[in-house]
Amino acid sequence: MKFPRPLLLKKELHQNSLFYLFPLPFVLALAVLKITCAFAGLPWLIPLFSVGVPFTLAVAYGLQAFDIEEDQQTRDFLLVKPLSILRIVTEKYLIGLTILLFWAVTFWWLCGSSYFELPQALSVGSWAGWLILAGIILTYSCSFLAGLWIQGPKKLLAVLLLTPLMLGWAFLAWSSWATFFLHNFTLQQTSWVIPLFLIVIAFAVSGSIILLTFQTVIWLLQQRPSLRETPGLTCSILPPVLLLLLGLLLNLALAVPLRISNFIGAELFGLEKPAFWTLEGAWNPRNNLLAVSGPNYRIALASLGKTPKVLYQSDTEKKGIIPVLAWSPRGDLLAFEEDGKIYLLNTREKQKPVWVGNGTNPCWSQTGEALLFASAESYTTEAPTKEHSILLFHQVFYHVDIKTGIVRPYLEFDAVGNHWTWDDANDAIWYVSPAGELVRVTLKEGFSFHPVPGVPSGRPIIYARFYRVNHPSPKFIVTLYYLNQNKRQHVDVYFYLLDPVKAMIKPLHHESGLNLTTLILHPQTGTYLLGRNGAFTKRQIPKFREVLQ
Amino acid sequence: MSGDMIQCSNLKKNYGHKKVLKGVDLNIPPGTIYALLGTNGAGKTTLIRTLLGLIPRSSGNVNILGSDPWQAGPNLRQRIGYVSEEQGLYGWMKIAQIIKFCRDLYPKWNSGFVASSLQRFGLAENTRIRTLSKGQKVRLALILALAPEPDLLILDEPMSGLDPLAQRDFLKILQQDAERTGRTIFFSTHDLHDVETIATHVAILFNGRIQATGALDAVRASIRRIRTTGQLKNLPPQVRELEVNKDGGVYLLPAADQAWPEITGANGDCQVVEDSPALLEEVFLYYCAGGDKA
Repeated sequence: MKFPRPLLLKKELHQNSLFYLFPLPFVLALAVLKITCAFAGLPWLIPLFSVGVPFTLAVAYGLQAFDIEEDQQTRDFLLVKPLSILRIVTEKYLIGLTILLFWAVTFWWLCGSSYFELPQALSVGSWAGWLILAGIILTYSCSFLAGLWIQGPKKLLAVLLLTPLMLGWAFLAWSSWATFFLHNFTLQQTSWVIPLFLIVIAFAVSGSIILLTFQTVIWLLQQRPSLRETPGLTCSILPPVLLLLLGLLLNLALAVPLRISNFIGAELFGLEKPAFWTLEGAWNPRNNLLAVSGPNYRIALASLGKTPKVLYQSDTEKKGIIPVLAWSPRGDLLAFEEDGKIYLLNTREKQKPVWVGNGTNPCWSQTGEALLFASAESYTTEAPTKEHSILLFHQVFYHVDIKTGIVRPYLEFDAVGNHWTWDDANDAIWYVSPAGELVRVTLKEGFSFHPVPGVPSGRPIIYARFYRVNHPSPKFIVTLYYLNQNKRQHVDVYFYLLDPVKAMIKPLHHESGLNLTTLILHPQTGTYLLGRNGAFTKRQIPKFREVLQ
Repeated sequence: MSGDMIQCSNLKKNYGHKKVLKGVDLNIPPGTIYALLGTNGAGKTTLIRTLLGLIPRSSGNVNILGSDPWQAGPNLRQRIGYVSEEQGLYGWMKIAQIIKFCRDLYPKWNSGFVASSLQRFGLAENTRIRTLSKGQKVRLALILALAPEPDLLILDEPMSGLDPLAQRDFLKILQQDAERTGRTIFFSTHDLHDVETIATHVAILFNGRIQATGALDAVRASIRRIRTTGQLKNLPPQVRELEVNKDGGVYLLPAADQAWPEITGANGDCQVVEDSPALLEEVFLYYCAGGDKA
């Protein structure tokens, strides 16, 4: 006599497909996140989905081992066959355990910070991995057997205890995911399709769980003899719908304003929650990689569909932020400033960054063959009284030849300013004075300073950035940051298009009353990210491409 | 009696406080077609499920093919075929799959019988079970129950919901099988026609107890039908009033009852105009209309 194991297993899969496939939408949602949004955070989901939910499911499997047979009226057909109960239960147990382990591993992988966390844990060459696996199997087995053992009146109690647990898992998962989906996009996410898809999945899953839970509760309250009798539509649908609406309102309340990609910050800095104060970012001009910096002198590369990769971490124990990142026009070299030192990092070769000098504000020539950085010495002018003395800066600019590596002083002059940029095509340097003037220093005719008309003067500038645009003709986009006059710690940001040949500027756009810690502009598309505490909002300069033409 | 296929004595089954079987005594000899007759809710399904060991009994003794069904394992179940009212076939399986599923579980399997029966009933092997009609499902369930050539076939209201043609077909299969194999068949029903068509023995279950049991003719002969010219007053408990009109009354009473002359004597000018064995329907009515002797 052959034992029909394949058909019996197939029968189990068919009959319990709803139970077994229950985590599938969660997995799909996580997989989409993992692939499209470089999702690697939320480590607390690992114990939840690899232990908590499967534990609950294992008890439920045990509890309902014969309920589905009963519900589908196949119980008697199976039990009068010459099969021992032990064998039937073993089949149910084995397939349940296999499915639970499969989901646990999948969740582990999807929620983990690396792609191979579990395999790594299991191949460490020690007993730890196997002990973990054995522990999980033991937990599931005990849960299943406990569920199987609990029959009769105790079953009512168990279901009543499990119901809020399942409801809790579902609501917790749904709530956190919905919040996550609403708050997080990839930096260059332009489509709402994927986030909407994820939200719909989260709603569908949690809705069905809540619906089932309420049906079970109602069934228990009514002491229905069989689950075949379904409660009325209103009492089935209304409570979960109300709960979902409540959850949605809660999430919407949390999700204002819409935030983007805060997980990148969290991932980058190894924090459970994004909590860093500033973030410098620069888009690579040749591809869609974004170099970002943050506390402890770290730089990471973020790109669509991949986990942000730490590119550089300082060996020093000092804590600080890399304030400027500058990509070479060819997109292979990244110049940055760390603690008053300028480094060059070749991102295509895994080498340590090269120190090129002490200074600030590295900026590239148009061709990328040279790098310029400033080094300032301050001194005070002589004056009759101390109150009338003026603090001046003597700026020395160093020229770095990328081919030869020779670093030499390039030019020097006295000026008070910051945010220098090098316009080598027109032999000029641009900067913004503290009084709010945009100044061009032409180098051909000696040093002459030309304030550019068109910028509102008289308002103190707190920050400025120059972004080079090479198409369709070389230009700069200048962002000027002013302190907002009404709200403390809020800024007004003005975007200008600077024609370096005509020395003329054209207002592009402005934002008022922003409470932000960083702004990262993509100079080719006019898209900019407003960042606050690691969360980003994506905006667009209106009619950007038309203006560039 | 030893050698009986099914023996149960003082079998009781309670669901919580509800007493469904209140002490059933039943012996089913081999080679009989035994009908369990009862009203809806009489406890027929509970009795059958207890006999099969699908549910535990509350008290009493049960013995099927020499074993206690609640304790017995696969060896006993190999010898029993069972068709329930709902059949319980897996709807997603194809006929060929469910045949394979069952065939692999039994040491004996009459493949020739299965093939010829499928052909006879026009059941294609690649048909999905959920697409079958009620009648086709019942036929398939019966084929699956008979294919392992069980010693005992138990059917729980198998013809419920079938049209007359399907019922007739089903009964024919059972009859032919019984004639061919001499197999013991125990089936529950509330349809008297089924019983009179094929049953050799009958047990009437009412209110959790067997009210009458034995060979069909003996059970039928256990009740007398009396027609009188007038209406009788002050009937003793063992006499049932079946029908009364201006011309007189029809009464049922145990055939062995000796009290009849005294009753008619006490009712003046009432005369017996007919005294005959009762029909099966009348026997059933006698026992199920207040016939609980408890």
